[in-house]
Amino acid sequence: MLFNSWSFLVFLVVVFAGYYFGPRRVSATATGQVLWLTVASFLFYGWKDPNLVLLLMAACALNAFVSRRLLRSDLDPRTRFRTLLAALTVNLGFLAFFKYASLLARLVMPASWWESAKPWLENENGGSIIPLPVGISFFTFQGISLVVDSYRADGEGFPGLTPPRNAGETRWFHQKVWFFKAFFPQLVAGPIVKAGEFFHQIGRKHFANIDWDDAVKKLVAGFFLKMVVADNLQQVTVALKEGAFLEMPKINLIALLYAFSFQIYADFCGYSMIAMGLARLFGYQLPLNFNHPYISRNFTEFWRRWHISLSSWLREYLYFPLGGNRKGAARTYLNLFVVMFLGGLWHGAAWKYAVWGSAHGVFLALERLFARSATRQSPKGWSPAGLLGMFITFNLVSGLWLLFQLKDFGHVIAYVRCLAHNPGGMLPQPLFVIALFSSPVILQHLWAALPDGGDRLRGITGPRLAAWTEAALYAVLMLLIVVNSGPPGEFIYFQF
Amino acid sequence: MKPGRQALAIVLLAFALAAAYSLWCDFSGQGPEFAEDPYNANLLRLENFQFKDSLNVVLVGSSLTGRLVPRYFAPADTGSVANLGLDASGPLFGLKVVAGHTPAPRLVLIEANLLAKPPDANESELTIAMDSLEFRLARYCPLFRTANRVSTRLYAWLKAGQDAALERRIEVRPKESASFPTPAPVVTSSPGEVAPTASAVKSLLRARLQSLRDRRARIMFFRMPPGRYSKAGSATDLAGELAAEFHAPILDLYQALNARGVVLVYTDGVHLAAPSARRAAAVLAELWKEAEKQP
Repeated sequence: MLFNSWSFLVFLVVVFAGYYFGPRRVSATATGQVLWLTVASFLFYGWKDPNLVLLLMAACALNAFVSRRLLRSDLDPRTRFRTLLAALTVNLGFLAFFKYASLLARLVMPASWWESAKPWLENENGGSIIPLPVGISFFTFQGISLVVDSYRADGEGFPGLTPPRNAGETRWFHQKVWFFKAFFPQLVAGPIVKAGEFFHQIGRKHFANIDWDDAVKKLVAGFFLKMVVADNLQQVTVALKEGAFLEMPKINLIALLYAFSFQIYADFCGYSMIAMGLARLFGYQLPLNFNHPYISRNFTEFWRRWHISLSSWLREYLYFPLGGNRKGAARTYLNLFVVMFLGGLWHGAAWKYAVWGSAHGVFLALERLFARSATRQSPKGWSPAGLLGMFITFNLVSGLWLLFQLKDFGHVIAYVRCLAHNPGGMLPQPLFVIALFSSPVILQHLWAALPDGGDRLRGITGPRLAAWTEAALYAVLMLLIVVNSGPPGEFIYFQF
Repeated sequence: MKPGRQALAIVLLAFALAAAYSLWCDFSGQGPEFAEDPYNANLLRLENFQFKDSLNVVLVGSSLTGRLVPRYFAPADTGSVANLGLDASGPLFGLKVVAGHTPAPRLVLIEANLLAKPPDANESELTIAMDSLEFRLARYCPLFRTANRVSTRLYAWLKAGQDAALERRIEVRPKESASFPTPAPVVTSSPGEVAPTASAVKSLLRARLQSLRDRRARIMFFRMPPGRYSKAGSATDLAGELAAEFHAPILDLYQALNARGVVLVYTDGVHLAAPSARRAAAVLAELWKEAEKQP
């Protein structure tokens, strides 16, 4: 089910009403509310393809069983470690089978074997025959976070998830794990919630405690970014995907590059904000996923502002276990590269994603090499060095997004050739669309780059007028959602 | 503000803004005729056609025809005209829409240039859009109409200014104003010889034309100036074959414009710029009126 669909609106109203005002058995207890939201989440997930529910149920059951076992205090360390390994293998096995089967088989198998296996794994266009369950990359990472955190808890448990002591607690334990994995706002495209961030929030929620201001603002901003900015920009950036860019004038080609950069931000940040707003309606707080990434002055800062939940997941569950920066400079560079290479592949089973991730890894490593303390001594926002850093980082990041939107490496080369050889002049119609629908993202980032932007406004106008000004701005965004949406499209990150 | 009040203020202000904007759209007269991207340009034309109860003439075709906006026909006293010249599409989809509309228009003019274009993803996208709740709501609630998109109004306003400037330039310097060379004349289509074309497209066209004929709509084909990239080919031959089958005339607008010495200015080498499109519309109206006199 898509957030930007009428069916979702009906679903949301029904689930919300049942959650707070349904029969007492549902709305008056934490267990009832959690069960209600879990069932609703499965309905949400299986709306288009009910078969998917079986996969999600299997993942929930596995992780609930394993995490309970890992939290047992009487388990010897060796068995605990084996259990963890088995759980990680099965979790990653799900991902490998559905997402990487064809890529792995091509890598591992001898050519003759691959030829005979190919018809079972790939269609005529080179795509995978095995359907990719939506959101599998996200809920698998959440599952891994749960089992690793349970392992690290060393029989103690962590806030919100302690080892159960009787049948009732065991049932509640399983219910909470299923809920954690399936909670619909973040199920298909994150933010990737870590176990430690979520379980302590589970409990009875009251209608009177809803933070309406925050929820409405996040929902309005999220839907605006998705439906007005991303969906309208998609109308022109589709030229990159379909190869229509081959005959475009140079200036349009360059504009398309930035348009896609703004589109992917608006699409994914929009999704994350909607997810956070929805979670707020049900009394939960999801972690921030984007913090104005295009004002980053270097790649290190970029990854602290872009898809924050993924980068912090990679840092905690991959970079640190690999040794992080504790094993010397050379090992640090290697770790950065490996993490970003795998992070790239997480986006899709194609080498272009691996190249994208590797390039980010190389830039991160180079940054550390040439400016060891780049993050601690990063230039200030509006200083010449800061502006130069922003300009370089934004352009490199935008250039690398081409690997996401163009079909393959052949198209990347063709794009670069077109930049060199295509005629001058311009097609004004797409440029108008790009300029108009990129401007909200640009303004948003400029505002964020101003030191204490919001506070300064409050200082000038007073808190009351500032609140009304903010309300008026959100009202305009809401109007634009109604009158100026683009054709409804899927979220880009659904395919990952 | 107290907690929760800001959310309420946002919703109430949004309603007030929507009401004010809706009023402004109602009072600001005729809506835009061009949109900022092909998808919305198509929706604009489809809405203009679907939401009108009775129509005299409908033009069906590709984006070449799309440039002949209904306003250009007003001086020729043609009655109400709708344009279903759809971007990245051919007449096939437009004919499907016209065939499903009640009452049928009196006269349907079909562009011959891209007659053989088979349906593709663009048509599927438009079908989904026309089946959507928003499209159905737009009939009753003008706020949902493409013509009332803020970006569409802004684009149309900017384009109108640009078109007016171009029109003044052409009046002053007719020969130099052509941004692309005028295409060489192409041989007029002749019925009889049919180039190979997808039989599925042909049978669909035939069925839709028959449906219009059954509903007493008059059918005519016309040929738009093809621009520098297009070539005469199978489509015009197909038009010849269908014209013969349905006893419909073929109006060679391109030849007629050349014969009248009209300067053809293209925006991108293919689509007519506004001043040329305005002249083309006037000449087309002359041609069909002349053809209507014949039995």
